Amino acid sequence: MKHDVIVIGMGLSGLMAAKTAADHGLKTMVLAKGAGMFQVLLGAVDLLGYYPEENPKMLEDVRWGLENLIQDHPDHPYARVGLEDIEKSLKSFSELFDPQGYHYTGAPGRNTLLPTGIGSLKPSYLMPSTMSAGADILSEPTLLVGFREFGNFYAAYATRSFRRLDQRNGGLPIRGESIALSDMSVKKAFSPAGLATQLEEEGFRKKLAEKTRSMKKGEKRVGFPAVLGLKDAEKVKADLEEGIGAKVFELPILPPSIPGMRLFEGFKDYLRAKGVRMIPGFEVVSAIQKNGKCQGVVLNTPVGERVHEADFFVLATGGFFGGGLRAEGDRIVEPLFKLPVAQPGAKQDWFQHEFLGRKGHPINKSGVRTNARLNPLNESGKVLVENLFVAGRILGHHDALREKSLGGVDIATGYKAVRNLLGK
Amino acid sequence: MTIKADVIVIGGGSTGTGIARDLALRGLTPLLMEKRYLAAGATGACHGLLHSGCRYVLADPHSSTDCYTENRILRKVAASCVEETEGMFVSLPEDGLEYQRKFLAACSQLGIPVEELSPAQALAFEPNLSPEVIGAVKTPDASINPFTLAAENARAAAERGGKIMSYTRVTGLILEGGRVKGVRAHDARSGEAFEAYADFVINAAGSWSHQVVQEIGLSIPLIYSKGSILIFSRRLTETVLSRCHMPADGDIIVPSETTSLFGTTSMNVEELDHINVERHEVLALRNELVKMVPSAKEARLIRAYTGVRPLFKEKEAKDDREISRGFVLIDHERQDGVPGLVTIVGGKMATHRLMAEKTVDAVCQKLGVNTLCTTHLEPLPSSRKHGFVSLRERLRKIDPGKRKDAQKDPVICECEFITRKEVEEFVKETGASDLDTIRAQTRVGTGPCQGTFCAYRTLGILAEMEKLEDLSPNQALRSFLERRWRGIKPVVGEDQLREEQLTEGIYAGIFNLDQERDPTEAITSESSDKR
Repeated sequence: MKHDVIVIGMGLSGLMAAKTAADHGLKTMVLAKGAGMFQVLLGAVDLLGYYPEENPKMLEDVRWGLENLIQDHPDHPYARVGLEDIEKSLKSFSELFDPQGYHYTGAPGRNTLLPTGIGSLKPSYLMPSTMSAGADILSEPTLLVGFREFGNFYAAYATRSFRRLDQRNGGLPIRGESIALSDMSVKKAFSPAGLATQLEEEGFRKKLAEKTRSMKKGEKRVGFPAVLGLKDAEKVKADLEEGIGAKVFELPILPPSIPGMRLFEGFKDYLRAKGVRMIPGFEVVSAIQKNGKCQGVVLNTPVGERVHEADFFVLATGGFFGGGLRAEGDRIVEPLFKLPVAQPGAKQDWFQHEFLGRKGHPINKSGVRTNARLNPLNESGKVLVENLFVAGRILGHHDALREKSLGGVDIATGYKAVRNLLGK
Repeated sequence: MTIKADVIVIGGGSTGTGIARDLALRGLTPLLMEKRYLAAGATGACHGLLHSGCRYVLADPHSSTDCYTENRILRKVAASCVEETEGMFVSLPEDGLEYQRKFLAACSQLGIPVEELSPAQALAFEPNLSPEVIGAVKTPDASINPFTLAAENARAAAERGGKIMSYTRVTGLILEGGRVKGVRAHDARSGEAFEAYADFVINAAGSWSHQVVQEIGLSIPLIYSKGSILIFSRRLTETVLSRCHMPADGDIIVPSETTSLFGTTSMNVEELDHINVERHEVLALRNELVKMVPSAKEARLIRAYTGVRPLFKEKEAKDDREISRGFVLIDHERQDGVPGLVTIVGGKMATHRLMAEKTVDAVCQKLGVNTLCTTHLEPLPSSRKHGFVSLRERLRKIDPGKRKDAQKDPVICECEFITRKEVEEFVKETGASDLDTIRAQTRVGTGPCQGTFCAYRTLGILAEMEKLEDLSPNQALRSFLERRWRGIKPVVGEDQLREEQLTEGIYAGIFNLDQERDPTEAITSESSDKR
């Protein structure tokens, strides 16, 4: 059975490509060995937090930043997409979740400073409604609540860091408390997913709300680690707000990310309903190419190799973490189509001396070369596979971790790759 | 502020802490000052081998005998720090068997009990050894944890009234009437300066011992020899393997807790505080190891570290391996006419107890104290209670199926099996509240993830215990991750690259720690950590 489009990769860029293809009525298949980095990392969607690279300033006006970035860096994935389609892609992304009762919100054209689990602030663009009450944490007294048995968030740590943010005014009015869950649950261990499913139970929610209420000292907001339910997160939040008598918000914490899992589940439900075939768990090991076109890809399954054919292919296999890019000695390779990769020189030039310096590691910009339509190119600028479109982290030519575009680049390029193959 | 003690010891390596213990056991009150944390220098940078002495049987028989005698003593008194892995000297085709023949003869002459094994026996004893082995000799080597050794020495001294001051930098010696009467020092973290007085000062600052005496016009002629070591994510062998040939770069692998340590190199350097491992050293070392342990080719490297051996320059030697690796006790009264001060330098961790004994003997004689040394008889505090806690025992201990308090006491370091309660108890017992000491002593942050999860968690626990004082937790976290990075960077390959991307993804991507700067923050310029 031949598909119109096969997307390789189930990270955010792959899922966004699949959605765009399904929305246009294309018969779509998604193949991937795993679920992508966003389940590990993503909470809110970052579009562009800092610009310019040489002297990064936190951006309030994102549109201004994008316009300049697109003008100054024609190789950047955003320049390949263009401002108009970036905005359309984000709209398409939010629209997937609205009917599911899980809303991504944000201020149009502007960044929001969101508090994190280590007591820092990060500029984000779209955030789940479960996080939005945390914005502007400097403005009013806030209580942060952690769980004694849960090691991915410590309220006392975050509180100490937040207080330092506004030392001139005597520190922020923020307080941290730690609740012992063993007193209210018979669970053996408290993993992020285990906590999230427990919070979906009304009885447990009630006990937690009561306990939190008893600890509250007039704070108007309460922050929890981002584990407020895998499903029905907005309901979990609303119930806690009612029970505690304060606004409630989630803080992004150490992985795995429950908001990332919600995002994946949301896409999965949507794509399945649209008839998209998703086959996770097996690796695409090679591609069948002829006359500059890809005819099919070979999937390695326990019952042997299976060939899947399509008219178009989207390569969204991610970076080093996802396996879309690999280091082999001093070379960086794209293992599936063997596409040429733009990379910094020898290994000693891949990284900065400082790990978390303001200057990003050169290796993070390595990626596949493409034309404006996101087709892969060879070193002399010739299209290598004309029915293959590249999306997400594998594109390189940007450093999502330093400029804070994690999620944004994936949504925009996943969307655009399919728009391009449609000729739109 | 002024402090008084019987004897001041400068340096918190195995030598300094060993001296503090010896002094305390003889009824003298030591005051030990260490500029960083215990075993932060050459002690922590060694490969954790409890020498059998076999390495030196041909080149330095005297050192060899000392090593073997001390090996026997430490297995008893420092049982909790020593994993009895035994050792094997193996000959590969390129080594031939000539060295092994001489080696066996020398061992027998010195009375070191060794056993010649056939290649088949050697492979049965250590299955990961190269099948190309042509000869092997079983030796009484062992693996020793230098961090716990130093801490246990310090604890023994503290039990008897000694005072151990970490993060305390000695800035000068106090001379009165030509005699050393004490030291000037400051708290490396708060910057507070103070003076300490004692009847005697012992300079055990290792590579930094010249700096200590330089200010009063004295000199310790040292050669600094840099040695680099690789850390693998798992134990590649269960026994210590050494190449049976003349000492050379990359000739020994030591199983150490969850990891294997392989080294070392030997290169003279001028500078002490900013040395790092170079990538070419990593590649050259790994090539050597693959010859002896073929599975090392695919094994995952998590870190490389380097330390500086202070070698005493007795005469003009061509190669630093020709310089004595024995120890030297300098009596500054006799040599320079400055009473009240001795310097002990050189030697090995394996002989640290003996070095301490000789040093304290000399000091006692000058002070008119007649008590005899008992450090060879008296077990270290934890060795009084238990032997070496093996990995298997540690794993069993954290098994949630068998652990009653698994729910209340989560594992905070999955790489090294460390629970929240263990960190809390360590902090309560020792009063330590810095990540470096906690890392060195509990192994938090030393496994494959190199602190990605457990550094935050440890600081979180410290915050809940209200032990962070004025410290910015994010600054402490970043400084820790930066120092981990120094050792990761030279070995970033395919696997560790994924790990690096995860860590960077978390701290730059989720937490914005790359942009987040505390207004008071200063960039650290310290050397990399060891393990």
